[in-house]
Amino acid sequence: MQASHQEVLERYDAFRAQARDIAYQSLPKHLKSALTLAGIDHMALNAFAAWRNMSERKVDWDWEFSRGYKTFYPKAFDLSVWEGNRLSAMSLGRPTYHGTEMRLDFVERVPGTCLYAGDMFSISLLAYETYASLIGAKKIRIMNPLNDVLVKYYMSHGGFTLMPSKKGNPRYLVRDV
Amino acid sequence: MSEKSEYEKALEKAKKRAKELFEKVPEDIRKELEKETILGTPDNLKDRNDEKE
Repeated sequence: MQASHQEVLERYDAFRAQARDIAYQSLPKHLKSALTLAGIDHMALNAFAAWRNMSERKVDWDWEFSRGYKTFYPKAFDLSVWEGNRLSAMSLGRPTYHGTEMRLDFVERVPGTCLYAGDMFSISLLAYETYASLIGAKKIRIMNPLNDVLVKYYMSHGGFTLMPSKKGNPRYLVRDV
Repeated sequence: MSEKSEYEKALEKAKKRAKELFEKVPEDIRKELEKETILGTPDNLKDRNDEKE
């Protein structure tokens, strides 16, 4: 019998919570004492409202989208990173169609000043790789990475391979988890 | 394998990975990471519903 949508949501809620907890437990001490990890819930979306009018913001994307996304993809993973009560970053991704690979689709950190700006992508990557392991995915993808300096670094030092764009799907970095 | 051991296995793996991600970052890459506010694009979140993705 196929699991109902609600059953899948609940089962993967447990994986999501575990992945955030494990990622948090694994952070270096200075980050662990300063940051907390959570999902993208109403608190995160309320805090996001303050990002909308920040002149340094590079995209005008509305994170409210994540509500529907998580309903549409019950196995998706969402992460928010907090420094005290200040929202520092959010990210969203999902397993591929066959569930063999986990996509990290989009990360945004707070525009402007962020005390731990250089760590935000790594925290997301750690949490997504952990979630991938927990749900049985074999690989992690960073979808359509735009910064070529970081692409080269992840390829030379992070064990990633760059897969070219194909049949309407964007290029991505991929590594085993 | 019990759920607890899966958790512990994932925790052990994450701790090792955290060392690579946080402790071995060259200064120029750290600066690049500090400069960027986005990774990927929101377009990645469009539903392609593609079996061959």
